[in-house]
Amino acid sequence: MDLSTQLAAAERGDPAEGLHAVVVLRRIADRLERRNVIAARRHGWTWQQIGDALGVSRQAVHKKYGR
Amino acid sequence: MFERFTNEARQVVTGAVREAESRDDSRVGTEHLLLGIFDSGWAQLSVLETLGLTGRLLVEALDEFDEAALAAVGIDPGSIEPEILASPIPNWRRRRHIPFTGAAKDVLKGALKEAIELGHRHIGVEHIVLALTALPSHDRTTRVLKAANVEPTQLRSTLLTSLRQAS
Repeated sequence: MDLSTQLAAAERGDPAEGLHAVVVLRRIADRLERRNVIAARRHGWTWQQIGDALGVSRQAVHKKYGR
Repeated sequence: MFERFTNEARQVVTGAVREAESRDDSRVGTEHLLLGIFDSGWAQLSVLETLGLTGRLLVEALDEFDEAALAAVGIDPGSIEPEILASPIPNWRRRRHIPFTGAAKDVLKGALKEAIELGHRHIGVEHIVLALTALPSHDRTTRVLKAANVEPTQLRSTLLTSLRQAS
């Protein structure tokens, strides 16, 4: 199913698949983020640098990954 | 509300949280409760197994849903680096606890209702299963049951029959 078929399905009142795709993509993004934050810390990045790279605050990254 | 839950029923709830964590889901949903049943030590698990339902089959069905959802928005699941899709980093534990979805909370309340209707004083795994069969058709659990060729209504009647024979 291509994107226009998918959007048409969402408009017909069947948004379940599109919504679920959002969940799966978030999970992929979370796993990608986690891997790379851990790698960045190993390479000596500061929380500030990681936050800047992710476009979030230093506090947000530290709260999520800090020990 | 958990004081009337049997040990096995509590295991379903803690197992559901563990399943959500290991699948990296942001909420504990009805499908995690269903998965939690298979690790709860429930004595009547064979009722599900005679219908062809196993924990492994459920996990496969959930993974297929994920892939189908990606394909539906034009993403080839095979194009994503397997390392990223693979299970979470070992020994990494998230700090935040995972909230339950509204539907999962409704299932736990529904289990209480099922117990009352049957005149049972405790809330057991069987009542959670009955509540899981009463979900709307778009719910993940309903869809995953159907994908495993199990009609929720059939599961319900099979379990009720088995409960009557046991009492």
